[in-house]
Amino acid sequence: MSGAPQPFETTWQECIELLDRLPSMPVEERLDAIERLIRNPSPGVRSRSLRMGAAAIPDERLKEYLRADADDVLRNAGLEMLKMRGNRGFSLTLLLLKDDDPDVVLQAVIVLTHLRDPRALEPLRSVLHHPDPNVVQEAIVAIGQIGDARAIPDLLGFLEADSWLQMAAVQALGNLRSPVAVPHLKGLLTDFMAGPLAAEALARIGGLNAFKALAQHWLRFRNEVDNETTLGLLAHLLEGLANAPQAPDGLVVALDELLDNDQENIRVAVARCLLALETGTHDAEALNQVASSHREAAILPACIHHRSDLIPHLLAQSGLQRAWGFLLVARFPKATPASAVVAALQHSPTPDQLGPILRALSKVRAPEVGSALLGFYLRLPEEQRTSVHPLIKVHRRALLDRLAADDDIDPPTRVVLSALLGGSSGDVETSLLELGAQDRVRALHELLELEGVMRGLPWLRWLEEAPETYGAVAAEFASRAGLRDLAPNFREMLKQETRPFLIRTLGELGDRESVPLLIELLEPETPFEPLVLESLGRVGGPEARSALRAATSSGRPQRERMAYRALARCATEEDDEIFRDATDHSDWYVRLSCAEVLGRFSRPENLAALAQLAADPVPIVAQRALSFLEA
Amino acid sequence: MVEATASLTLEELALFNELLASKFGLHFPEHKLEILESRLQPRLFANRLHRFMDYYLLLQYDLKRELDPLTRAITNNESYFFRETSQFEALDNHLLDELSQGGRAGKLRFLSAGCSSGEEPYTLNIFLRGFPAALGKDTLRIDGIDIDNQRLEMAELAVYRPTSLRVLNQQQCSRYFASRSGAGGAGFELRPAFRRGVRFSRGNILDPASYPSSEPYDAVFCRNVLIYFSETGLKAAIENFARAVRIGGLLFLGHSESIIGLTKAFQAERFGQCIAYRRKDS
Ligand SMILES: C[S@@+](CC[C@H](N)C(=O)[O-])C[C@H]1O[C@@H](n2cnc3c(N)ncnc32)[C@H](O)[C@@H]1O
Repeated sequence: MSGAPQPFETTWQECIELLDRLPSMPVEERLDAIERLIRNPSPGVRSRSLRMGAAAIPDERLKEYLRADADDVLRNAGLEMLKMRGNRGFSLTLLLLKDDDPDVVLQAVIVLTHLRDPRALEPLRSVLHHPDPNVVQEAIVAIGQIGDARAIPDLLGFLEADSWLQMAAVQALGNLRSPVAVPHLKGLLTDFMAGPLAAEALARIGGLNAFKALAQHWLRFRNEVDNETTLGLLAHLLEGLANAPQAPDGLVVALDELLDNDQENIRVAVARCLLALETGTHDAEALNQVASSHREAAILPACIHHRSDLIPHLLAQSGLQRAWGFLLVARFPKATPASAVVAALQHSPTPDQLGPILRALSKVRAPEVGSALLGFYLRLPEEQRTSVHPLIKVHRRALLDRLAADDDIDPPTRVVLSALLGGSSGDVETSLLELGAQDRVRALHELLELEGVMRGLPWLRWLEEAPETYGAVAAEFASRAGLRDLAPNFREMLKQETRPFLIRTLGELGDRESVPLLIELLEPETPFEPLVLESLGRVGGPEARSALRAATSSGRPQRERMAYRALARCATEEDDEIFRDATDHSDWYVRLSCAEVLGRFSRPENLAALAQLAADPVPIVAQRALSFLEA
Repeated sequence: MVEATASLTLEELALFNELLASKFGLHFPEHKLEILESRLQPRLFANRLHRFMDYYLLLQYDLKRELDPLTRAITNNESYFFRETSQFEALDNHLLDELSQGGRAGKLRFLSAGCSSGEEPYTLNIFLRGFPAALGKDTLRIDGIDIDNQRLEMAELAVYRPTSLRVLNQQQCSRYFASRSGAGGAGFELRPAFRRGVRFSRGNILDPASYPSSEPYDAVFCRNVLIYFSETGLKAAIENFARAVRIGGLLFLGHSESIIGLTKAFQAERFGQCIAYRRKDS
């Protein structure tokens, strides 16, 4: 070991080379190299050398690192390596708890906190009597992280200790989440230093008693405490209870008074409390407040999780609140008045609401909801209708009745619905054939999921007779079902006119014969270039690869990036040199493709290039490379 | 063969982030991947695509046509009248006086950057019209810009749903709005007096050329917009605001947003309940 910290002077390139040579070095030299490498500023180099160190450095040497008083880098590296060893390092760490040097004991406690192995609990309890207060403080924290209720009596003793230990104990009690600690924490709420932490600890423990303790405290001292924090904690506690509790005297009135406070955070916290207390006063106002801060339609705010009584009100609102109404319907389908759902379905949904509506309607099976579903479905833009298909099966009965009774439904929609409601293949086919071409295409677009029925249709004939009409829908189905028979027709169409869906479909069908056609599209420049390159990548094969290789050095950034990506998809070992040479390309997306390919073909020279990418400044590139190296 | 429903991969997230940051400054961190996914999903449906990558490719060749719906899909337009009023109140106490003295005589000019459907600039207008210091001005002008055309149309129309008025009391509602019933449910129309002096145009915070005026503003409001920005987007926005506000003018951000330590052009100052950033003399 080198002793005093050494100035770092190795260049990045040298580091990479050093890393690669490590496995073949003599032991002593290897350790020296690792000690140099862990001082490298590049996170990639550091993380690799730490990993190697964790695997290679003997216990005695590691202990020396942890004792390296004058060299923080080395000491931290020792700590990191011990953590990386995971459970393999467990027994060594336990031994270190008994070390004479309090600093080493401290490091060991930190590692044990990280490992979270419950076997450490007993040894940690014995450290609570260590003469060094820093060690004790860290041990208290550790017990909070990995202990259980058994450790509570040990911790309670520290509630009377000096304030650092007291604060650590309060936090640990919160982390242990045991209701046994509630009365003790309650006693500390008025403490100047520990009070705010005790409030937080109570909120973490949760439960009725913690709520009561904090609520009473707030009621008494609400003119002195930090209302924003305390009310936030109170709301959190209330939201965690299985049922709304009886509110302590005066609480609701005191909360009501703050509902129009100047500060938004206070208003919102109060609103959450009132809603969770189910007082029924000011619900509408409180909901408005919550809606102003909680913006996601797909996530029900915790304060109204139990409020099935709010369903009619919420469903009658717009935007977020209506979406929440539907989420509550999905939770409490039996408590839902069908009429409220029917009324809410009269409005066209915003994109945010669609998910919650679908969830709700899969649970509520009342016939009137089923028949309202039809109107809802008909009002949706055509391209969104497929998202409702699963519901059509759920409400089959009601929809069949409506379908029979309703003469206004246009023919293609009728065909779609009958098919989705279980019409036989023969019937569906016949009725599709009876439709005019435009209507038929509309219906086909929506029925592609019925693969069995779709396969029996005369696609080839349609494509030959009216490629313009049927091209897009046929291409979509061909991609979906892998219908390669149709590829020649798509190729013909592509020769006539460059259309994106044709380029995409030929790629998805892996149609080798379209490669020359696709290559031709690249010169002269086409706006569809990225799509063409992508399709070439999907098709692959020598001809496509050679075109893609050429495109990687076109000198045009956008073309290069997509060409690398496409080539990465179909590359063979013959192509890896191109990717090795591009590891310092200025475009991160090109480097990502490099990581992809070099990780796939693990020859030694590729590993060296991957190691360089593992130190890439763009996280996704470094991560991809690292994941290959680790594998 | 193609899967029926796609999910957004980390790689695609990085690509979309690159695009969104360069066009609008916006950024979706990894923990918001699902949010971006659900916002883009309807665009996949609408274009009959199955993979997010296909949609990314489409944006490469057809951005012009897709720009508007994309903008609408990814921006959060949440806004309401009288949101975080402490900043408007701070204007009343001394600030406005001081602003009018420092700027061009007889004129007060404000920019609301990321104005959504107009709630913020109109609220500012309502406040200003009640302040003695503003009354003597010959020109009181508020420009609202946003990248979302549909929102801007709503702002021009100035008819709002009850949720936009959620923090107003009864008295305020009837004072500022006339209620109207229409096909889409109850609506509240902002009275003409409070619309006067407010103008809207499409503008991108990242593109100073799209700002409606090159004359410097006395104050810029950009609230609840920059939280969705990437780091580079944020820096570019601040630079642009530094050019758009006159020396001594003010920049107001949302209460959870801060640019302390990010720029030398502005200096944070506390006014009552709120913080504003003053344009320093460089
Ligand atoms: C959450 S709203 C905030 C509205 C208002 N400022 C408020 O605080 O209530 C954000 C608005 O910023 C707009 N926006 C996002 N990026 C923008 C950009 N680069 N330029 C202009 N407006 C942008 C969005 O379209 C959206 O309407």
